[in-house]
Amino acid sequence: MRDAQNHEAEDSQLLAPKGLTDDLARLLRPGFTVPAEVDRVVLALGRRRIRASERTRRVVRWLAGAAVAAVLLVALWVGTSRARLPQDIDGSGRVDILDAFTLARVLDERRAVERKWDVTGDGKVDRADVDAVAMSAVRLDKGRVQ
Amino acid sequence: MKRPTLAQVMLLLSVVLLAAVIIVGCGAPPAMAPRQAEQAYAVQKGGAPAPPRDSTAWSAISTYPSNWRELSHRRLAQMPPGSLPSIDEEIWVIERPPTEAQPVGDDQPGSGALLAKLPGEEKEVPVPLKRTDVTTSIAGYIATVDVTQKFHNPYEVKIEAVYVFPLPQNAAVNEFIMTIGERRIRGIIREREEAQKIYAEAKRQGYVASLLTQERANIFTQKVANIEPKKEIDVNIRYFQTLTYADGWYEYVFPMVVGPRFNPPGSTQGVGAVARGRHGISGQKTEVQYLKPGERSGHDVSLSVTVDVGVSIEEMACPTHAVSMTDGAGARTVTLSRLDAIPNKDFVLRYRVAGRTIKSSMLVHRDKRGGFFTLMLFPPAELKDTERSPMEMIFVLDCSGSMSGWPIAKAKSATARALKRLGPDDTFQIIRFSNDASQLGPAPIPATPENVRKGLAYLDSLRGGGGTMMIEGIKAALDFPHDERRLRVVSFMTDGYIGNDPQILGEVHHRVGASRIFSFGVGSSPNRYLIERMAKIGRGAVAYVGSNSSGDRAVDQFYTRISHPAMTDIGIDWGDMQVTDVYPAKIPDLFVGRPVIVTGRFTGTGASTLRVTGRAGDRDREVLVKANADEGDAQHPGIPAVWARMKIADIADRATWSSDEDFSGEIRTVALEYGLMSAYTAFVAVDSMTRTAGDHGTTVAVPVPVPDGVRYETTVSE
Amino acid sequence: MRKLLATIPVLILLVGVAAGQGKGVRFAAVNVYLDSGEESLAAYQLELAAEVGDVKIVGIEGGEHAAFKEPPYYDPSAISRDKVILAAFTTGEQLPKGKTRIARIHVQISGDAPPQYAVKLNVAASTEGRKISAKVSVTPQGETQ
Repeated sequence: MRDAQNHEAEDSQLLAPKGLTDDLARLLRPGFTVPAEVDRVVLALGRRRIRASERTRRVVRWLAGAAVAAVLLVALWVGTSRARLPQDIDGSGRVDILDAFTLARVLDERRAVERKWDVTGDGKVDRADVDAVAMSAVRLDKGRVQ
Repeated sequence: MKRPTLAQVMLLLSVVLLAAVIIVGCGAPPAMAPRQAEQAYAVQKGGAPAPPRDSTAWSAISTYPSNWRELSHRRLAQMPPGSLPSIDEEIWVIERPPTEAQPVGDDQPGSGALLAKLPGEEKEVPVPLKRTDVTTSIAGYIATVDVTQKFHNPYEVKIEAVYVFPLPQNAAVNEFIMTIGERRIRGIIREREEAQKIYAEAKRQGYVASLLTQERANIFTQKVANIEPKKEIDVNIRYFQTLTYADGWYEYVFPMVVGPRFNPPGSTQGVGAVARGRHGISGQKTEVQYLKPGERSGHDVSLSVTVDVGVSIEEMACPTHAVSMTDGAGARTVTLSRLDAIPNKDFVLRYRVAGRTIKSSMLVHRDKRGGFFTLMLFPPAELKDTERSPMEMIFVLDCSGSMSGWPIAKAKSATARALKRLGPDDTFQIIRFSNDASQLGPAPIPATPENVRKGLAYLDSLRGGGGTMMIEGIKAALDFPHDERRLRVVSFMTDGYIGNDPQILGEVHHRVGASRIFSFGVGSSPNRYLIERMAKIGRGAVAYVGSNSSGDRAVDQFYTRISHPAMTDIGIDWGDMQVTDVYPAKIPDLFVGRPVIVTGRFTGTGASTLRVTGRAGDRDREVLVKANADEGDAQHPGIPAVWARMKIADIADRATWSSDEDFSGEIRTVALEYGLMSAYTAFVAVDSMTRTAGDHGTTVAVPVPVPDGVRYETTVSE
Repeated sequence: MRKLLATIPVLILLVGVAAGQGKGVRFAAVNVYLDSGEESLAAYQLELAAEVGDVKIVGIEGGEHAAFKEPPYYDPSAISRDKVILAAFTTGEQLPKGKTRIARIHVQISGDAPPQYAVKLNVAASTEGRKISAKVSVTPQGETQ
């Protein structure tokens, strides 16, 4: 301001009347001032808040990543569950003789069976399904053990 | 409001997705009620269900309706029949002979055991096949059949037993076990030549071994080597087959005897019919030895069939044998009478179930090998929904020696009845064949009353005698000039007793064109493979006429149906499904009462609508069938084997009329992959623990009776 | 001339011996044992392969104990390869413990080299369906372990 006034003082024709400038100065004068301590406290609070916000952002980013990973894992699990052959009686994730054994024991002990164990699709769960599961268990897949 | 960051958006989306996946993906199907499961298992074990345990001891996990079994069986019944179709489901069997079963008592002449002599033996002893036990279980539309052949050595020296026997031509033989005492050895399926070499070497070195080979689709040879004196060896064969279905009736057939075959002069790859003990005189690769009239081998058959199709059986009949029927819980057991145990005619069991099956539909199966499907097309239920087509009827009668007597009489009677049903717009021709072929006239004859009378007179003059040069009959029938305005139907009446099946089928394939072939099998053990294969190539149907049948009903049904086809010249637009390897390649016509089954491979997923198009009368027709390639988790493991069986049959068919490809290699590959018997694979089992002393012993063939009604004198070489 | 004639019986004998030996083809049995220790064995699945030698499987027999008398399950399409999976189970109450012969494989061996087999146990289970540890081994018939 002073520089501007000094700059403008070089051209006396442009100077405003003193009374006007005094009135304007009074009008535009700040109504209060912030004590330095308050200012320091506010600044400290602000900094703390910013740090917390950054922490939160980091946490949110991690959480987002973990959630995506979880979704992928669950989708994979559910996907493989869906694609899991009905011969996987014991839910181990692979078809082996234990599946046939499990089904045979369920039948022998007259326990509840699940509809999806009707591997042969003939409307009932019986020894034919046990045999079908056993045959699946011993099947080689392209020369590799499944 | 402050704009959310990317991380926050991702977090929110992930949580939503996670929740959605968990909710959708982890739903558990309901469990079946314990009581019903117990019944299912107990029935399969062959007995009445065991008393249920105290159900309060079980956890209440079921949310399934208490009548789940009835519901699932209803679903099963609503499934198109033949969900796992047989190879001959595209063959429409119009009629079977309603023969009265006639048990033979022990007081019949010649009913004592036949005794055979070995060179150097003074004592007469029985033949090496003691008995055959057949146990069949029918569940739904599939029959699982266990055949146990009990071989024994009644002689004082080692022997090799050889037995030529029939199985259904759609049998998928998938198990073979040799039992020596308490020990059971499972046989291995291998390439045929390899199996034969293994067997021959084992036999030569004195090991007990067995070999099962296929000579025709319906003829097999069982050999058992190094049976020591007084020892017994059992061979168990298991196969499954799907039942035929027509007009609401299911049919199960167990063939018992191979009929004597005619082999054209100069052929060596046929099946020879020779008298007992006269091995080698036919000059054919495979021989069947026959017992003289009045002789019996002592080899009997026991047979039981348990039928559990999940719905009530409205009618059941065995038109061929005396049987007893007992009802268990949800299943019926049919047992062959001991008084009718001579294996000289096919065993036929028919039954009709409750419920209507109407809609065309598709079943799919997926496994590591890819996708398989069966498509079942159903015709209208009533004839009134179809139109009458003018026809060109060609009647071809087998007048060979094996047809002498009642067979030719039946054939003539059936032809006469069909002639009388022709309308003024129809034309006809009559062709006879034995050593050669001749016909009524040079061109199709309009079916005027005068011409029909001439046809009847010509029929009446025909007699049985001579060889079976079926080739001549086929050429005469199929080379006939064809009237494009008419539906041409060629009707063969034969017992099919020939040995050059491949040559016949090749000629039919090359000449069939737009003709439809309807085969009438005459006799108690006709060559079903040939008869049905001809009808398959000709997109026609089959009827069987036995000794106690007038054939009238067969002819009436046949004529009524074929003059009103529901849809001909069928084509299929598969929509979004990528389909390959479809069998049959030429889809048969659709007739009232008889579904059409198509099977194939597919890739792709999701729902699709198939467009089935064809002609009905002089109009185009279209049927839409919904298909879902993602069909749940249901698996129908029989579908791949049935597809493989049909693929093998298709390859074998092509092999009869083309020599450009490696058909044997193709069949071998498919058969080995699916573990099936075929012309190029065989089962072999060797007991390496038992090495017998001496050389491989004497080969003894098991003689069989000629089929009931066949004349020994005109069919068997002595 | 006499010497020449004298060699004929010798030659015939040699030819006979060679023929009798079946050009190096012989049949043998291979016993498969499973040692489940103190546990009762109710189910097993194993892989068997011939790593050395020209060996063809010509029969699969069950085991010595009544529980495993029936021939085990196997994949028919695998026989043409050099590896096969065998598996069996029993729901009976009388079960074997310790070392027991669970299967016998009948083989045809071509050539003079003694074959070598590799066997790997995939799973063994007790009657409750609980996996148990067991030791699998193969022994040609006639040899002692």
